[in-house]
Amino acid sequence: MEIKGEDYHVHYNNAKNAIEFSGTLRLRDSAEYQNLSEMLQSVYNNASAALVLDFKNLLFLNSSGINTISKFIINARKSARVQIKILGNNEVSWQQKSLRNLQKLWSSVQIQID
Amino acid sequence: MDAVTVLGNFKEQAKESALSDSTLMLNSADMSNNWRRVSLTADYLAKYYSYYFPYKEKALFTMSRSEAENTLSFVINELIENTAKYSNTSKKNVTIKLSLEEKNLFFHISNYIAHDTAQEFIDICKEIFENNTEELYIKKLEENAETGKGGSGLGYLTLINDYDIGLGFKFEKTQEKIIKVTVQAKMKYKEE
Repeated sequence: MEIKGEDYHVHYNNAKNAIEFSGTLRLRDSAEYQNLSEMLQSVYNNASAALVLDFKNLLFLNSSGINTISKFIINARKSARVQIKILGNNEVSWQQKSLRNLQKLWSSVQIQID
Repeated sequence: MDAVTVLGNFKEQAKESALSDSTLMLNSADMSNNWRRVSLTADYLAKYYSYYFPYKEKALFTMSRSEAENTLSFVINELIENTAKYSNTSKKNVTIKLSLEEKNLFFHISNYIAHDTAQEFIDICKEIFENNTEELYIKKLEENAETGKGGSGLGYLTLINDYDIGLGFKFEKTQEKIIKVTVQAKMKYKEE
C-alpha cells in the first residue's frame, strides 16, 4: 500500500510493520489528505502488532498534515487495538518541535527522536 | 467592523532599523491554481534568509543555517497557505515582506478578503489570544477528530506553541469595501 505525489511518498513496509514517509507533504486541506487518512486507518485496523510511523525522511509536513496525523492518533486511541510507535529525526524542525504533541493526545504513544 | 482592527502583538515598525528588507508580491490565484507554488515560495525565502544564520559550529546565540532554513520554510509556508486559500475577492494581491532586525526576524504577509470572512478570522484570532494556546490546540484537535470541525487556527497555534512565534493581526477596510489583512509574525533571530 502506498501514496505518491510529485514531492512525497508514503509507503507501508510490511516486514517492519511501518508506514514510512518521505519528501515534502504540504497538501491544501483535509479533503486532499483524505487518501492518507484512509490508508493510516486501514493499516491500523489490520495491524496485529505495534504499528510504526516513520517520519525520519519527511522533511516537511504542514499544519493540515499534522492535523491529519493527530486525528488518526485520536481515532487509534479510541479503539486502542495496538500500540503506535513514532520515529523522528532531530535535525528536522517540525519533527523536533511538533511530534511530542502526539503523546498529549494518547499517552501510550511511543516517540523516539534521534 | 471598525476601519482598523488590531489583535495580538502587532508592532508598527521603524523602517531604518532593519538590517535587511525584502518584499515579494504575488498573486493568490496563481498559488491556489498550482498549490506547489506556495511551498516553492516558502523554500526560496527560507533559503535566502538562512544565509544570515551561521554554520552549526558557530551557532552559539542563534539557530544554525540548516535549522533556520527548515524552520523558516515551515513558518513562511503556513503564513502563505492562508493567503492562497482565503483571498476570496477580485483583488488577488499577496505581499510577503521580511525584515531582519538585530534580534528579530519579522514577517508581514498581507492579502484581501471579504467582509464576512474577516469577521470569522477575527473571531479565530480572539479565541487564540483569549485562551491558553497549548490547551486550545489540544481542544481543537479533539473537536476536529470528533466533528470534522474546529480545525481553523491550528496553523497559527502551532507557530505560537512550537516555534515561539509572536503573532499580530491587522484588519483594514479598503475603499472597495473589502478587508486587507496583514499578519505579523516575529521570530527570534539572536538571543539577548
